[in-house]
Amino acid sequence: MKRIYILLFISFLFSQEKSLERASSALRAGMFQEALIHISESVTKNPKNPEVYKVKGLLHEALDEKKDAIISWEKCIKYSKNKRLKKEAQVHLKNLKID
Amino acid sequence: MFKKSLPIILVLISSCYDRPVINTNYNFNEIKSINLSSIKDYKDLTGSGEMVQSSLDYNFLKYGFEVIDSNKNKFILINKNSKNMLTLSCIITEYTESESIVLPYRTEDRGYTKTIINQTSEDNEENENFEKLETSTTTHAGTLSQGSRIVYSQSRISLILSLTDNKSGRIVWSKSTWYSGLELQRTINMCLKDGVNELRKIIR
Repeated sequence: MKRIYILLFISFLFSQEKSLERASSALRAGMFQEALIHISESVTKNPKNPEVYKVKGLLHEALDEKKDAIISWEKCIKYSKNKRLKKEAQVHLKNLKID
Repeated sequence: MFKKSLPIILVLISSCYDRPVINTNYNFNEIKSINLSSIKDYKDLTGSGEMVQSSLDYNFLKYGFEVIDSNKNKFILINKNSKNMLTLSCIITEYTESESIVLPYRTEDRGYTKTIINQTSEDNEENENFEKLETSTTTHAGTLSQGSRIVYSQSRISLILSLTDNKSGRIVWSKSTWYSGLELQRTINMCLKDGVNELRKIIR
């Protein structure tokens, strides 16, 4: 039983790493739509990671998806304990909310 | 000497913060026009000043300002009947076209609680129905492991905008702003959007 748990956990980690690797490659290639798909997969697997929400927010901004960007930055603030990251998220939120 | 330079020092110190610094004694309702002084390049990055300049024009136009580019200078016309003329200067304090960002990705295993319930029913010697209930609970604490990482490049822009009264030479408004993003042009636009938005609050 213990072995099954360990195997499940390792496979979970690998599937996350794969989607992150794909997201990183797509980001570096400037394929923002594709990167967003993989980042969204990572968010589903680990929905409380503020760093992933930061990248998701940046991607939504680059794709002109203002509403989704606001949601991502708000979640970044919610789950982050890092002051710098929180400040960055606040700056983005302020600018995105300007009419 | 100190008394004279104190307002300038205060403006410069305060411009380090996000909120704009405003000279409350100045009458912003009497502005005729704002001259847009040319923006110098950041260090040796040729064209950086021009990029910020064109983005500034774009943002002013976007917010409904009338930008006039005559042979001698570029300015924004606010009110023909007013007298005061201001000059807007913009200093680029940071201009990073592309910097590599590595975000460590932490995976959180929140642990689990396993409860086993054994329920058995058996007859004893006196033929009475006897029920037996056993429970055991195991708790796994969980771990926080750092596995993969996200590597990407981002742009970062930081600017200081200041308004100076042409007649007195006083700095009447100042604002520092910064932004980061995946694309340079969008980052500059968003950075100036904040600055121009703050500026229009005092003019209109």
